[in-house]
Amino acid sequence: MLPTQEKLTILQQTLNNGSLLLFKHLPTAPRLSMVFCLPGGNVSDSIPGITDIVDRLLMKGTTTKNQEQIAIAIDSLTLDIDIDTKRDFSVISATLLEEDLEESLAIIADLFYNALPEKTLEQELEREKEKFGGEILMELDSPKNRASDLLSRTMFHQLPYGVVSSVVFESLPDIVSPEQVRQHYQGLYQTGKMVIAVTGNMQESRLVKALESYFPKRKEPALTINPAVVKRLEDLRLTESEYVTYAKDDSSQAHIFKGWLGPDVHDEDYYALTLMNTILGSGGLSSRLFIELRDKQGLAYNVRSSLDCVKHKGAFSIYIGTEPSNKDKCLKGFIDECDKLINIPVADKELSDAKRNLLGKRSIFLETGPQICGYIATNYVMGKTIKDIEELPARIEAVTSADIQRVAEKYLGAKQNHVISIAGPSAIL
Amino acid sequence: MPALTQDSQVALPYLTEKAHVKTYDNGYTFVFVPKAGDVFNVSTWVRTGSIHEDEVINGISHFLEHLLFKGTERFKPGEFDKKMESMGAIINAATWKDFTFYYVTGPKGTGDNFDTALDMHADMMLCSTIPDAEVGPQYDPFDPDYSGEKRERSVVIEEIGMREDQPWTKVYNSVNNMMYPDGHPYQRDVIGTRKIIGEVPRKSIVDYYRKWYSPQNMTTIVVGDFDVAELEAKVLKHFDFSKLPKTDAKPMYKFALGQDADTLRYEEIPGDYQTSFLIIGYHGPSPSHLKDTIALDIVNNILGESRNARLIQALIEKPEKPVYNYIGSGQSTYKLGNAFYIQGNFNTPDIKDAIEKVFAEVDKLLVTQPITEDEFQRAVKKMKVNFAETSETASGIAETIGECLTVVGDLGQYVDYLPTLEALTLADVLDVANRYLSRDKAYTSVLVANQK
Repeated sequence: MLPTQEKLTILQQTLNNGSLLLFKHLPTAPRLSMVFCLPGGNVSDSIPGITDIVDRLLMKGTTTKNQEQIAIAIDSLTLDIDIDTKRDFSVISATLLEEDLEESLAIIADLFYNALPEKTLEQELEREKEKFGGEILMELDSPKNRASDLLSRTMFHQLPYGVVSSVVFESLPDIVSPEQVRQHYQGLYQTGKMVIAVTGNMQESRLVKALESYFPKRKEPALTINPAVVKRLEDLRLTESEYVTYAKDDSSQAHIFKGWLGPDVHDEDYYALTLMNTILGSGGLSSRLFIELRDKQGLAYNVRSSLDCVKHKGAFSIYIGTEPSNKDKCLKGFIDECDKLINIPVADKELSDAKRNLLGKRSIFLETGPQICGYIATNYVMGKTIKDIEELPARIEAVTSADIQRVAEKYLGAKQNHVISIAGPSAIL
Repeated sequence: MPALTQDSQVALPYLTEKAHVKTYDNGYTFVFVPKAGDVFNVSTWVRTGSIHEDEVINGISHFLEHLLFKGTERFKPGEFDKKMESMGAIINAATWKDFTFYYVTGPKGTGDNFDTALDMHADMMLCSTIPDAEVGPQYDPFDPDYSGEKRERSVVIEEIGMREDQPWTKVYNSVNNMMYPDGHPYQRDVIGTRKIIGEVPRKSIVDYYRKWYSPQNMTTIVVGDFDVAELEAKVLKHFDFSKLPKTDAKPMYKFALGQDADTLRYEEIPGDYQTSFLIIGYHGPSPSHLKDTIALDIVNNILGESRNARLIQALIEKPEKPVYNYIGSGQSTYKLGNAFYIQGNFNTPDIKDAIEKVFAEVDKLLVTQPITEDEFQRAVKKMKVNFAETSETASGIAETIGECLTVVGDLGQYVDYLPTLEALTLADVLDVANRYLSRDKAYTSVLVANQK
């Protein structure tokens, strides 16, 4: 029997700066892990990509250190820091040894409060745009990345969840005002709605004292997310099916994505869709797409499905990389497998196997401190609670085969519009 | 039951309990690493990969890896995948130059997950039947009119196609082609060619399997929360080699360590890309030369890995206009000699200038601005912390041990890593940098952006 209830034993405490601290004591962890999640992300973009630029500039200079001094300060400690921009939030991830806690927090707080001074923006804004643009070009030199990029920007049109690399690249010339960039930074890097997740072996009182001491309330106003943008995301529908392509004549494979819009992460359908995704193509070597299109027909090495439900909307997609002349066979295979989900109830054994597959993998994906921190902090910043996380196994267990059929029809059915995105030789597009 | 010929307990860094390393009279090695937690990992490493291939069977190690998932006398094709994944385990395998390994990482759960995993994993390693129907008929992969059945043969050919669409793979293969002389196993791509995979007969694959998947070439590693005596009995019960045909195949290495090809040193590959992809390769020390290997890791940290790495600062962060979109470096551990790579991506059409700027930074490190004591101390500290990370997961521990035992031949690289790192001096590091990274020892390949 799988546990249907699990207690995470996570301490929750609201700090005096308004942030929520989630602390899990891991006595044998060799390192401390910390994740600072700041609501905002691309949904807060006034110009597509401005949050990415702010997050990238964070380590390029503060009022006290230039870029090189920051890098040396980090490298001198046991500290490692990553900063990333997501659609609904920005995230600072850090790992460190307990002995370096206070010094590490001092560095992170310096980035949090004192980054992007006038001098840095003068020197670094245009350079960072140039660097970012170059990295995007490199990323889009992969035909698979190009097809994926095209899928998302088509599905989400001009909305923030469609702020993919090619959209940012086109918007970079519009990010010209240092003042606008600084104001975006000051509005985003606020403690009020920040979620801090920490795991490791240390005293909770020392942690709280250090966090409260290094992260006071900020005096600048917090940035508010435009409710009209959120509403447009929530109401987004595909009004027609679209077929979009990127020609790359020296490509050995056709990289084919088919995508549909889906619900947000809070929707009741999320659990049934998650299981449907496991059965169809994310479950590994035993998923239906893998068996039918790879094992039985030899059409691909890489074939899979993905469910991506975030705060205000979701998406479901299928991908295959195949010899270009197989394109039509693969697209038909996608339709056949979706039709099976809609028309034929999933057998009890396959359903229970999928539940165990999904829930069993959780303990592997939550084996380390950084994994646990990332998981709980991102869930919280998207509006979930510890209770939601603890109840997830029971919610998955409760999904029936009728639920799978219902959500398959609702999101992948013949009446649902979709986007097909293909990168490959022009002859087959 | 095979008799024990060696039984030792080894303290591994950042782990509370000692690892058990046992070797038996049939040559088989079993390692158990006690680790509390809800996750177990069982893996078996085989001392073969493309190192034992030639131009006729290039890619056979990797093709065989795919086919080991296609059933045994006891379990039909796909049953292993289904059973493992239905308990939430992650299963996979990998083939590289010197090794092939197969693993199951699973949740301990409340039942017999581990026992089932061990049983099926061992059966797959020893008793795979490699059915004809799963291999698929031989065919000409360049024949556009071929309409026959496509099975695992085609899956591997699709994987070749996938790799052909990866620019870094193209330029990496080009560098390897220059770094090793004709006939050297490292010169070839591990995955093989479309023609070989399309045409290699099943019998060749089965013969290769029986030749190399023998006790003296295999090491099984278990990481998890188990009793060592019970576990050893289970492992030996399932890894029963007595019924298999005997083979005395032992790894044989035709080529000397890091043998140079003294022909081409520079290659440009045309491509339909928006950016150019560069790799510079150097031969490194033998992986068993721990001191040199770790010293070169320190050079790597200072040159291209750390946040403040010289190449990143000089070619991305400091110039008014960044020269590179990305630049980094790394050392790969290979049985016949490590390799050190610098890889970068740039936009400028002046390819020669972009490459020269990389060499100029390496020259500075060797001659005009040698590594400072501060840089050295920061690198040592960072590497200690990075090393701790590998000890956090069952799979990370197993992979470190597997690679040490299979590629290097002993656990020295794991056990002695930290003391060796701490004993190194700045002079050692400068000496290694000068011995391995001089300009005349570099092999350079660029996948050139479309200049249209």
